[in-house]
Amino acid sequence: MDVTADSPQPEDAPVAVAEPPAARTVDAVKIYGQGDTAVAALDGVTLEVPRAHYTAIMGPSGSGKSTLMHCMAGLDSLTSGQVFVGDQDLGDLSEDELTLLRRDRVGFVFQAYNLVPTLNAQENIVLPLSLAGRKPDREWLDTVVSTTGLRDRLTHRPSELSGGQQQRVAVARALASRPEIIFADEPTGNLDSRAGAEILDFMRRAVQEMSQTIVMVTHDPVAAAYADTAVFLVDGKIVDTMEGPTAERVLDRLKQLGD
Amino acid sequence: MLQVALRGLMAHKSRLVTTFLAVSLGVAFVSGVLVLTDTVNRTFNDLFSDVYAETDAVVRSNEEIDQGFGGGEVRGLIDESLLDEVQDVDGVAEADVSIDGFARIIGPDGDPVGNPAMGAPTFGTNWQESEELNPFTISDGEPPSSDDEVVIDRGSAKDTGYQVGDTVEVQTRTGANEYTLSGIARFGSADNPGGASFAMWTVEEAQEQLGEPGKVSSISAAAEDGISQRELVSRIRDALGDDVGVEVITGQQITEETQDDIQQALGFLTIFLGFFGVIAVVVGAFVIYNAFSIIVAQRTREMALLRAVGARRRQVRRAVLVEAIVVGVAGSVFGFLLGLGVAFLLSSFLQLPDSSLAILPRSVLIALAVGIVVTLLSALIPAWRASRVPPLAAMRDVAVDTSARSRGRLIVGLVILVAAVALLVAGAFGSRPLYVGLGVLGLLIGAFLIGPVVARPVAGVLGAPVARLRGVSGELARDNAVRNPRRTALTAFALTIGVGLVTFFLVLNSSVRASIDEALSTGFNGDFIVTTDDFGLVGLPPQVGEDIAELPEVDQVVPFRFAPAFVGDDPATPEIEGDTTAVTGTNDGIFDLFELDVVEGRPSLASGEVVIDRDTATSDNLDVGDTVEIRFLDDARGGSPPPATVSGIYESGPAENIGSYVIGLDDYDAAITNPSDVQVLVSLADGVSVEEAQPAIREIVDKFPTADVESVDEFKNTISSQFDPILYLILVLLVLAVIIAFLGIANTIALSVLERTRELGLLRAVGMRRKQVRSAVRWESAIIALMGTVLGLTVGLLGGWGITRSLRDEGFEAFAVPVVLLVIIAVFAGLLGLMAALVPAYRAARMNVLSAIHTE
Repeated sequence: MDVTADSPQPEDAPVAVAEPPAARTVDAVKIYGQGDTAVAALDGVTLEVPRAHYTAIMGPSGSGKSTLMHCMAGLDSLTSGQVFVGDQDLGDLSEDELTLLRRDRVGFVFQAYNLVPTLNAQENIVLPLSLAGRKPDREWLDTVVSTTGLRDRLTHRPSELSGGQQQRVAVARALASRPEIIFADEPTGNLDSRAGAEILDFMRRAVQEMSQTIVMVTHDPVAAAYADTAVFLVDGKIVDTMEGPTAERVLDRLKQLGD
Repeated sequence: MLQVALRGLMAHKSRLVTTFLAVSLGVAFVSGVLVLTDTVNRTFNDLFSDVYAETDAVVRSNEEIDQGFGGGEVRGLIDESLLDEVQDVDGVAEADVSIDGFARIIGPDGDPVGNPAMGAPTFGTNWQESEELNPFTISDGEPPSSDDEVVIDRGSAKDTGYQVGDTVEVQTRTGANEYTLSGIARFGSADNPGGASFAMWTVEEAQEQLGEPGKVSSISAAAEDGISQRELVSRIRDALGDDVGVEVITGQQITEETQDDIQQALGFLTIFLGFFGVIAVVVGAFVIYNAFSIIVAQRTREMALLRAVGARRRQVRRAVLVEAIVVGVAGSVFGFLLGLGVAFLLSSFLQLPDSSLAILPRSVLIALAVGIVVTLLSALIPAWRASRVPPLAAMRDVAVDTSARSRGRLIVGLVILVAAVALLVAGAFGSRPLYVGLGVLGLLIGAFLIGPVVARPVAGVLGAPVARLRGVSGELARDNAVRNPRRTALTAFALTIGVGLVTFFLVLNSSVRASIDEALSTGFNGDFIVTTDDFGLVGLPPQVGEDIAELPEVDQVVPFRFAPAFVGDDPATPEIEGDTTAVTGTNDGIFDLFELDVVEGRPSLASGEVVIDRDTATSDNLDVGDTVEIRFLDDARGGSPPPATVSGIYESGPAENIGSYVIGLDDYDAAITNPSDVQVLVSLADGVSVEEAQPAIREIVDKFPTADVESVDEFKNTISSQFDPILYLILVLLVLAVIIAFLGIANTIALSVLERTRELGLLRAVGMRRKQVRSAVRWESAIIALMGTVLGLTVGLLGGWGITRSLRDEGFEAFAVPVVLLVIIAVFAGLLGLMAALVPAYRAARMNVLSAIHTE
C-alpha cells in the first residue's frame, strides 16, 4: 500500500500540489549480511511524507521501522531503491554531503535524548547551527524556546535536567535549524507517560503551529495517536496506512498484524 | 582466568602498543643513564688500575699543593737520591722514579695532539727503566737514551703519523723543544690509556722539562715474591725514617686514591645522571600508570561482566596482572636495548675515548626492576579500583571522577605550593641554590596535587582562543579536555616535568651566558685574548706576548701567569707552613684592561708591590701598607721574590678575578725560571679595528702550536659555549622525557574518544562534519599539551629565575629568558599535542554513526 494512493487531507492540498513531498522512498531495499545469512530489513518500501504532516511509522520489533528512518535521514544507505529529501536523491550524495544534509535540512530526536553533556541546554539547542557556523534566527529561537517552556533552564547542563526536559531540549534542537523534516526515533521510549505526553503534544504543536514535518518511529499506540497518519510496517514491507489514528484503532490494527 | 587474560592481551594488541612504548622509553631512559655512568667511571678507573698494576709501594711528598684557580691539588717533589735507599730495602725487587707533568706533542701540521679541554689529558713523564713498573712497552724503536730523544704512545703516533726517527716537537711549561722519536710505546694491548697522550723522556730531560734537576714526583717499587704490599710499605718506611717529608703508601692505596679523585672529579656527572635517572623513573611511571589506567578503564565493562558471571575480584585483578607482567617484561627488555643506544649516543656527546659501553649486571637489574615494578604498580592500582566497582554500576557507566572536587587535595596542594614559592624566593634572595631546587620540587608536587582541581579553569583560559577560532569544535575540545580532570592533570603533568626542566636549564644557561657577556662587555676593555686549550697546564711561551707587543697595531699586551706559592705576612718566617695559594704575575696594563674596582690603595704593580683581592685581605687580615712574604714552590722552580707591600685591594668578581695575590712581572720572573703564560690579553691602538689587527696577530700566534687567539666576541662565545655539551646532554635526556609524555597524551585522547563514542555519533548525526570531529579531537589534545607546557614553563621560569638570583653573589648578575627558544617549545608542544591526536582523531571521524549512537 502506498500513502500517495490516499487522497491528501484538504488542508494539505495546496501545499502538496505546489511542492514535492518533504521526503519519499522508492522501492527501498536494505539487506543486512550476505548469502545465506542475508536478512532484508527493508523489502521494497515506497513511501511519501507530505509537508507539514505528522507521520508515525509503527511496527513490531524487527519490522524495519528504525532502518527505514535511518535510511530516510541519511544515516544509513540503501541496498537498492531511492530515498529523497525534498527532491534530493540521497544516493547521489557523498559522506560529507550527507553530513551537511543532516546538518542543514534534517532534524533528529533520539530515544536516549543524546544531548552533549558538556554543553548547556541553550548550546545543545543551537548545536547544529553552531556546527554550520551560522547565527541562529533570534526570533525563531525565541519561539522554539517558549514552546519548550525551558526558558529558565537554558543554562543548565543535561545532567541537571529531568528526562522529559532533556527530550524537550532535543526536540528544540531539532526545530532550531528549521529543518525540512524531523525524524524522531521512539522519542518517548525512555519517559514516563506524563513526560511522554508532553513531548508528543509539543511535537504535535510544532506540526500545527510551525508547519513542521515530522516522521516518528514508535511502537506505542498512544504516541501514534498524535500523528496525522500511521504507517504500519511488518517484515520490511508497508502493510497498512491509517489516517487520523486513535490509540484504540492502532492497537486493534497491531493486534491484527500480530496474528 | 589466565586464558581470559591472554585472550584479552591478544585481542587488544594495538592498545598495548602505547603501553609497551611507554615502558620501553621509561626503561631506556633509566638504563641509558646507568650505563653511561658506568661507562664514564670505567673509562677512568681502568686507566689508573692499569697504570699501577705492578706497583706495590709508592714514595711521594707529604706536601699537598693547591694550584689555585681551581686547578686542583698536586704533590710537592722529592729528592731523587731516595731511590737508592728504596732499592736497598730488603724485599724490593725493583724501584724506579717517576716525574709527572703535562706536555703537548705537536703534530707535523703544527697542531697539538689531543684536546685536554674536552677529553683525556696530555701527559709528560719519564721513561721508566724498570720493565716491571713501566706500564708501557716499546712496540717500535728504542727507549730514549739521551736528552734529545723522546718516546710517544702509539695512539699519538697513529694520530700524527710520526715514525721512529722523525723529529717531533713537544711543548711543556718550560717551552717547546724538538726531539728525535726514538720509539713508540703501547699501553698493555691498547695504544694508550683512555685516549691520554704521553711524551716520555729520559729522567734528566723529564726533570728539565717538567720538574727540577735532582727531584722526582714519586718513587714506585715492586715487591719480591711473597712480600705483601703492606709489608713492603712498612719496610720502606722504616728504612727512610720519619723526617724526610715523604709518605709511603701501597700500590692499592694509590690506585684507589686516584680512582677516588676521578670519582670526585666526575662526581657532578654521576649526581647529575642520577638526577636524570630519577626523573626518568618518575616520568616513565606517570606514563605507564596512565597507559594502564586507560587500558583498565577501557575494560571496566568487560571486567564487570566477568564479575557479574561470577569472577572474584582477585581473579579480575590477576587477569590484569598477567597482562602487566607480559607488557612490563617485554617493554623493559626492549627498553634496555634502547637504553644502550641512548648511552652510546650520550657517550659520543661526552667524547669518551673508549667507545664500548660498560654494562654491569646492576644496571640490567635496576632498569628491568624499575620497568617491571612500575608497570605492575601502574596496572594494579587502577585494576584494584576497577574491581571495587559494583558489577552493575560498571556495566552501566564509567565511574565518575570526583577528584576535581576534593577539598583536602586542594588545600594540601595550595599549602605546598605556597611553601614551595616561599622556599624558592628565600633561596633566591638568600643565595641558597639548594632551597631553590627544593622549591622547584615543591612546585611540581603542589602542581601535581592541585592539577585536577584547577584543570577546568586552566583549560578554560587556554581553550578560549581555540573556541573562538574553531567555533563549536573548539568549544567541545575545551570542555572535553577536562571531562576527566584527574586524568587530564596526570597526562599534562608528565609533560610539565619535562618541559619544566628543559625551561629551567635553558633559562639557567642563557642567564649564565648573559652574565658572562655582560661581565666581559662592561669589565673588559681588551680586544684580543690569546689562550691555550690546556688550562695553562703546559701554557704559552712568553714569547707570544712579546712578539705581539712589537706590532704597531697593538697598544697594550698584558701577560697573565700564575704559580703556586706559600704566602705569609711575617717576613721573619720565610719558611711559612700551611696552605699554598696561587700568585699571579702580570703588568700594570691589567688595570686598564680590567675595570677593577680598587677599594683601597692604588692599582700599582711596581717591584716590591702586591695587589690583593678583598676576600684575601679579610681572611688574611691584611691592609694597604702591610708586607707579605711569598715563596714559590719547587716544582715551578720558584724562589722568593722580594717582600712585597700591599699597594691596593680590589673587589673580585667572576670576570674580574685576577688572583688573590698579584705581583709585577719583574718580581714574578725573577723568582721563577721559565715562566709560561695562561693568557695574554691584547688591546689595540686607537683607531685600529679588530678586523685590521686580526691577520697580523694571528700570524704570530700561529707560530706557537698551543696558542690560540680570539677576539673578545669570539672569546665570549667560547666561554659561553663551554656549557653546551652539558646542555645538549640535558636536552637529549629531557626530549626523551617529553616524548614519553606525548605518548601519554595520545593514550588519554584515545580513551577519551572511546568513552564518547555515542556522543560523537550523535554529533555526526546532527551534522558535525568529519573534519570538525577531527578538529575537536586534535584541539582537545593540544589543550592538554599546552596545559602541561604552560605549567612546565611557569615552573621552569620560576626555578630558573630563583637559581640565577641565588647565584648573584657568585657573579651571575644577569637573568635572561631565552624567549625565542621558549616560544618554540610552546609551539612545538602544541604541534606535538596535535600530532599525538592524529590517530584517535582519525578513528573518531571514521566511526560508524549508527552503531556509535547505539553504543551504550
